[in-house]
Amino acid sequence: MMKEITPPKRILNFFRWFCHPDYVDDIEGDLTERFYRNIEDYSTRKAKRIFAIEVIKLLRPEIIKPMGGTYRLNNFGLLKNYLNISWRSLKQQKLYAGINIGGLALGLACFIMIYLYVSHEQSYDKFYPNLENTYRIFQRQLGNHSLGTDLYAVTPGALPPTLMAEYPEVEYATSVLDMNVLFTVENEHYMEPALGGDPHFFDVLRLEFISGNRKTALNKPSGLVLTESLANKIFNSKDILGKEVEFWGKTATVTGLIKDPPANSSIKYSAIFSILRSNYYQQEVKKTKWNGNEYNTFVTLKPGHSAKDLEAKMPTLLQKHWAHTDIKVKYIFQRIDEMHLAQNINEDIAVKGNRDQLTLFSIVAILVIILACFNYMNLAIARSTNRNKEVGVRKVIGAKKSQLIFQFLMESILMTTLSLFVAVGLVYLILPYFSHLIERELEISTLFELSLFPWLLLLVLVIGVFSGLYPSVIISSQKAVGAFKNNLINQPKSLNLQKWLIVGQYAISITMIISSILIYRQFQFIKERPLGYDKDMLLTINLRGKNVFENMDILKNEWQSRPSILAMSNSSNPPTYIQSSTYLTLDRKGLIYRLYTDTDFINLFNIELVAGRYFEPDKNNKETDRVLNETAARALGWSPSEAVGQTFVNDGGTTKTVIGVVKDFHMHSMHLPIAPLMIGYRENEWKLSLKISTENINETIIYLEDSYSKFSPYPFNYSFIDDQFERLYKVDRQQADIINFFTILAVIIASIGLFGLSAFLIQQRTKEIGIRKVLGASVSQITTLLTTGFVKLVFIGFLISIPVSWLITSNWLDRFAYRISIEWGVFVIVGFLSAMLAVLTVGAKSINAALTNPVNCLRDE
Amino acid sequence: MGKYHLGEFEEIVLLTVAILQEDAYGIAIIDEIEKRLKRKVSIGSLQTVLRRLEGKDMLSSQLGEATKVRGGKRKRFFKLTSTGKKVLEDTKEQRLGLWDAIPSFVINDP
Repeated sequence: MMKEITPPKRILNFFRWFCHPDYVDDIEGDLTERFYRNIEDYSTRKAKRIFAIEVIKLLRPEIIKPMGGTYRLNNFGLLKNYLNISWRSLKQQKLYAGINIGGLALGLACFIMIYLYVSHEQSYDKFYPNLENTYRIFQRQLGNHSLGTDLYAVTPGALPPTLMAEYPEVEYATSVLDMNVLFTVENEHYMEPALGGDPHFFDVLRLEFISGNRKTALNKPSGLVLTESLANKIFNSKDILGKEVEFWGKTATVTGLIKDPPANSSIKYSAIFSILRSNYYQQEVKKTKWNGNEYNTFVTLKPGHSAKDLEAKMPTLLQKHWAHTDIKVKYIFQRIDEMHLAQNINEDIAVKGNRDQLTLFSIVAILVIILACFNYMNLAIARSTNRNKEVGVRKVIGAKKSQLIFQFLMESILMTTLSLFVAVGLVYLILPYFSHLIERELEISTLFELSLFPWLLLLVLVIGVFSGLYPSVIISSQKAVGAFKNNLINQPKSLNLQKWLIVGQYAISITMIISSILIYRQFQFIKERPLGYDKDMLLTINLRGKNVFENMDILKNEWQSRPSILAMSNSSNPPTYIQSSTYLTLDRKGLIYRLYTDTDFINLFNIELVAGRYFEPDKNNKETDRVLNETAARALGWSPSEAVGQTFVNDGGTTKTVIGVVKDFHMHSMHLPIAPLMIGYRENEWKLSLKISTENINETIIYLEDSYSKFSPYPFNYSFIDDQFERLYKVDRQQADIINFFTILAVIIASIGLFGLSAFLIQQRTKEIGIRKVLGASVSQITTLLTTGFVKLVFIGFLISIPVSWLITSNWLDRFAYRISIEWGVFVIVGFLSAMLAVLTVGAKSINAALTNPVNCLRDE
Repeated sequence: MGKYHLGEFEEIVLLTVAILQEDAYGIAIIDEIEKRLKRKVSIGSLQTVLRRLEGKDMLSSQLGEATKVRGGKRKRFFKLTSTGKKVLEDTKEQRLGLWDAIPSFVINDP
């Protein structure tokens, strides 16, 4: 042999590790002997391989060392002892235990709630049995931005049959219409969210039938399928097949009964009717050149075909069938379970969630948990000095470091487990409010599902280990002798970490405070910003039913004579939210929103006229007359005064004359910049806005409802303009509420932590304080001494939080077209306030310590 | 009957230990089996059986001297105990009894 060849070290070590200690020696000898012989017989490599195989073959119960070695019985006793000691030290220091468990429980409760929310959001639309192959098709109209996006959920009615006829990979395709429908049964009216579907509806959306035939339910124009709850509401029975329901002036026959849509269905409905009853649809579906988009399209592909491939074939299809060659359209396939969380789409059928919001919340959840863990670490390290003697005794008796680490880890896992129970209790109490806040029905029962159990266990383990590992390493590395001498050998080192933990906690919570204040200021800003129209004491009624429009004059005259009704105006939209839009120019560039009103609109809403005139009752208002807003005039290249009398031609092709210009008003939320708007004249549009007097509002509304119901079978549907205005910011408001909620939690957790740590450290320094007092220090000097250290930490946390919160909030504010600028004042105030908070938290204990009679603390020893 | 029944491999190991007498340690036993029976034996399977037989009190063992070729590790020598001998003899008797019970024409027939 040229040089010494030895058995592979790593494998040998592995063997030594697992082998029963009694056998290690001789079996290793056997292995080595064989190895050297094999080197002579074969190559070195082969010998090593055989060695490895032999070692692996030795992995047998008879040869592996027993768990925990020969100390098994002894260990069990120790385990009991650990639990006992943990429990006793919990009981001994109730305050710290309370703080620890409380902090962790708060953190865990947040985490659990956010988990419930996020998992609920992600579960949307996952219940369809053919989920994998079911898609909806929406379209992008390049450049045609409306309400902030150029995506539209609706597609032509002839798309589904064409897809099924021309593309063999499409199994089924269906057109779906979503709308509120007024059902009438025996003179009782029911306004319900309904879907219109063609005969293939249930082939694509395979909803669960209770009775009826899914294949034929919508084949006839009279077909109607009800959900359980609507069937109960109307007929109070489940046996409803063949019963008759009136709507749209025709009779429908119930052909099926289905289950209610689950809470995590993004499509909400209580009935599904055959779309064939719509004459408009009958015409649309026959077209070979498509020029309109009215229906949601859902498709099921045959297994093994990808939507991407089909999507790539869509341009050819569009070339063949799409009528407007000048509007570039792209069809996009989206799997049905992605509808809920995907980007905003105009006229979407789905209830939308918000992916950013989920990310935000997940981050918040993790931050809060980290805060709570920091708390635990801090207090555990601080308290460790109290257990020095215990550690010392254990070490003298022969405890290994790993055993001590295990002991303290077990303690923290025990704490976490207790916290988990408290947290579940907390969640149980808070969840109803939280559900209300996020407008979802979350149920705590989800938590008790068996499948979640291992995860909860894992959560407890991870948090227990994360928060307990460092403290237990610190505690257990105490030297046995040092433990008895009562001088804290490693205190300075760990104190450093504790300080950074406090800094981290405060950085996080101050960031959250600053963010919530800035968000609040943005809402104030929105509230105070002049909108360009009045919104007080105004309400809008949605007019429905032919009879109402035919008797509009009678109704309006009657209402006008009431003293409580001050003024009214018909318009296609109230000024809070104008939906309809078209192209600004003939060559389809730019975008202009359109609104139709009667003559009273700007007087009712107090919208300022800048130039020209508005539509007037005695003048002959031509159909081509238009009033623009300032932005529209500017977009067409005129100043307001120049614009009057000018003509322009846009998408519709007719020449329009500008008769006046109104001042810009916020016709959308402040997320969107004010866009061009043109107002045309129409007498009886379907939104009637009224200004009512502040007295007896309820009476007025009851009166309105009564007189309206005389003319319309539809329910009286009204809303106040300021409520409509609030609704524009619902999502933002929700986020703000939730952030506030968690900010408060974070501050509480951080304060608890600071309180606990300071109380402890001050207790440690009682002797020092006593000596200082004996030597003549005043109460205020001692208080300052004790407090400043902590305030400094909070201040560093504050410094860190400035750039972080600046980044976060400016990101949030960027979603608004009209937003506040971030002022330094806020930071200064928050910095000052958090310093105050820290002083208050630490101060009480400090003063207490400073006031104690030095005799009391110096007496012992 | 309450008696312990040897497995086939256990029997082979016991017999080999008996053959090797004073020299029965791990590798030697394996070598002997491989030589005589032409079958591969891994250290793992042999050691398992050795421990099991020792546990049943059919073998006893003691550690020998360290040798260089074994990386300075000592050998563990195995010896049959009286129980081991008894079990082997019983087994043999059983086998022979069975052999005797076979009518000769069954086996001798071509």
